[in-house]
Amino acid sequence: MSQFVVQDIEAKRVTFHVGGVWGYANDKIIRKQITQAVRATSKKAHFHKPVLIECSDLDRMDSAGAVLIIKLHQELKEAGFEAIEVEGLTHDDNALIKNLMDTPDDEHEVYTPDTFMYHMARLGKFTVSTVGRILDGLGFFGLIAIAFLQGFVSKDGFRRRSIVRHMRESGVDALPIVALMAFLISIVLAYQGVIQLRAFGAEIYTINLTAISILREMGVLLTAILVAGRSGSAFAAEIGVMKLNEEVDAMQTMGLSPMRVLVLPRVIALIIVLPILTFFADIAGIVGSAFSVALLVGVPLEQFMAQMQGGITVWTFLVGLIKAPFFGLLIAFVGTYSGMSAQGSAENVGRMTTSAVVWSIFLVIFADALFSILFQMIGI
Amino acid sequence: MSNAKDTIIEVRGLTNKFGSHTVHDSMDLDVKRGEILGIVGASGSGKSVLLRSMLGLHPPTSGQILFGDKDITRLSKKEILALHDKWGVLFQGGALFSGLSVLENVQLGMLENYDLPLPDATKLAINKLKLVGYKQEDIHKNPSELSGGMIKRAALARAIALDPEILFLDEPTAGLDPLSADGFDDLVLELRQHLGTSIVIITHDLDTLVKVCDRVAVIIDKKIIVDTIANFRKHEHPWIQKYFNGNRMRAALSLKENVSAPEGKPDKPKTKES
Repeated sequence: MSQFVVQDIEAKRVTFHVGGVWGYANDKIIRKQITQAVRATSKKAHFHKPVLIECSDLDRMDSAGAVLIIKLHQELKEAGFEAIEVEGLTHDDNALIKNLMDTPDDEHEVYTPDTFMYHMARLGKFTVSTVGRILDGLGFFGLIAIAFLQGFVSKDGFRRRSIVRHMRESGVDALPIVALMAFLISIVLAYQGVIQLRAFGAEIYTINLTAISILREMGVLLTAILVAGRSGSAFAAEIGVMKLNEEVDAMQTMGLSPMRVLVLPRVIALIIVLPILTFFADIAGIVGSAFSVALLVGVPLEQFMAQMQGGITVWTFLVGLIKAPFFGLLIAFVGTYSGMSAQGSAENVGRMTTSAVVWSIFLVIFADALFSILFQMIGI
Repeated sequence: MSNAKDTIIEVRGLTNKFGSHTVHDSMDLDVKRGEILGIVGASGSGKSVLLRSMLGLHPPTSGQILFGDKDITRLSKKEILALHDKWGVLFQGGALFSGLSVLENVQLGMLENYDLPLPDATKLAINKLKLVGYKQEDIHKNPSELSGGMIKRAALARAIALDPEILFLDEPTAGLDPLSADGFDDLVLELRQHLGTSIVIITHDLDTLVKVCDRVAVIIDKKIIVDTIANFRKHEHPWIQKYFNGNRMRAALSLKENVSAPEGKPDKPKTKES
C-alpha cells in the first residue's frame, strides 16, 4: 500500500511529504494516514517548530484531494502546530485549494427530530391537513355530482366509450382475481366454522354461517377492497401522472372538462361494475363453501342447497348487493380525488396513490358499518 | 494514472438498429481529450441514441466504443457502473432526483460511492454549485421548486461533482432564456479552462456551437462527419449546406465575429446575399 503522507521530523522543522494521487478513490486511505501522521508528530517538543507540507510528489489532485490537503492543514493546527506552510503545488492545484477554502459553509442546521414536541407537532400538522383535505374532498364530491347532472343536460351526454373502457379494466379484468379470492376466503371461513360448531354437533350450520357471511358482508367487502387496491390506486396514479405532465391543464385549455373526461367515466364505471363483481364473488364464495363443507362434513350438494335455502332470504343477498354501488362510488371518488390532488414530483404521486388505497378501504369499511346499523334499524 | 492518449473516446463501426429501422450505420467518431465537441443532426437522427450508447445505457447492434482501453460494449453492467467517476452527464430535463434537495443531489455520488464524511461532501457540493452559479440560499430547495435555468445549473453541478474527465451535455440550453443560455455557454468554457474537462454537447443552439465548440460532429444519413464549422460551410451535402449557411447560422457567426473582432479593425457592415 502506498504512502500518501510521510512525516519527517527534523531538529529545526517538521515536514510532511505528500505524494501519489490525492482524490476520491484514495480518500479513505489518505484520511487514515493523515490521522496517523498527525498523531505521530503531535508531541509538545515539536509544536514550536515550523511545519512544511511538501507537495511536489503529488501525481494528481482533484477536489476531494484538495479538501484532504485542507484537512491536513486543519488537523495540524488543531493539534497545536502554529506555523504551517504548503509548498510545491502547481498553479492550478493552488487555485483549487483556494477556491475550496473560499466556499461558504452550509448555514442550514440539520434538524434531527424524535423529541416529544416534534411528534406532537407532526400529529397537529397531520390533523389540520387531514381536516383540510376532507373539506376539499367534499368539494370534489360536489364537482362529481355537478358533472353527473351535466351529463343529462349537455348535448354530448356521457362519454360511453370511456365508461366501457373502465368497466373492462376495473371489472372484467378483475373477475378472475375476485372470484378466486372469494372462493379461497369462503373455504377458510367454512373450515373455521366447522371446527367450532363440531363441539356442538352443529357442523351443518356452517352452511348457514358461510352463506350469510358471504352474501351479506364478505362478498361485497372483499370485492371492494380488491377493487380499491387495483383500480383505486390505478386511478390515482394515472391521473396523478397526467397532472404532472400538464395533460390535465392541456385538456382544460382545449375546452374539455377534466371532471367529465377523466373523473366521471371512472366513477360511473365503478358504480356499475362493483355490484356485478360482488355477484360473481357471492357465487364463487358459495361454491367454495359447498366444496369445503362437502369435503369436511361430507354434505352432498342437494342437502347443501336445502340447508342454505332454509337459512337465507332474498334480503340476505340484496343487503350485500345494495351496498356495492355505494362502495364503488367511494373508491372511484377517493382514487380520482387523490390523482387530481397530485402536484410537484413523482414522490408526491406515489404518496397520493398509497393514501388513495388506504382512504378508500377505510371509507368502505366505515360505510359498511353505517349500513349495518341502517339495516338493523329497518329490520332487514 | 489516467490514460494520457490524445483521444478520450473512440467510436468504431457503431451500428444501431431498431427492428428493421437503422438509425446508425457503422459510425466512426473520435473525441479528442480537452476538446469541446458539438453533436448536431436532424430530429430523429439518433443523437440521444448515440449518447446512450456511449454511456453504456443502450447496447448497440454492433460496433465498439473505446473509453481509454476499455470497450464499453463488452463490459458487464457492474463494470459500466464502475466508470461513473470518469464521466458526468447533464440529461435533457436535468433528471434531478425529485425526492432529494439540490444539495443532496450533488452530494449523492460522493456519499454513495466513497466514504466521504458528510461535512466534506457538503463543502465539495457547495463548491460545485457555486462554480455553476447556483445561489447558496437555494441549495436546500427541492427540484420541483426550481425554475428551468436553476434545474440546469443544479444538474450541471451534479454532473461535475466528481471532477470527471469527460462531460456529456444533452441540449443544455434548451428552454433557457437568452441571458441564461449565454451564461451557460460561458460556464462551459470556464469548466474546460479550469478543470481541463473534455466536453461533448448535443445541441440545436447555434450560438453554443459557434461560441463554444472546437469541432462539430454532424449525424447525417446514418453516419457521422466531424469537422469545423468553417469547413462544413463548404461541404457539398445539401442538408449540411442548408444548416451551416442558413440565416440562423450566419446570424450566429456574424455575432461571434462582431464580438471577437480584432483590435483596430473596423467592423464591416454585412451585406445580405440575395
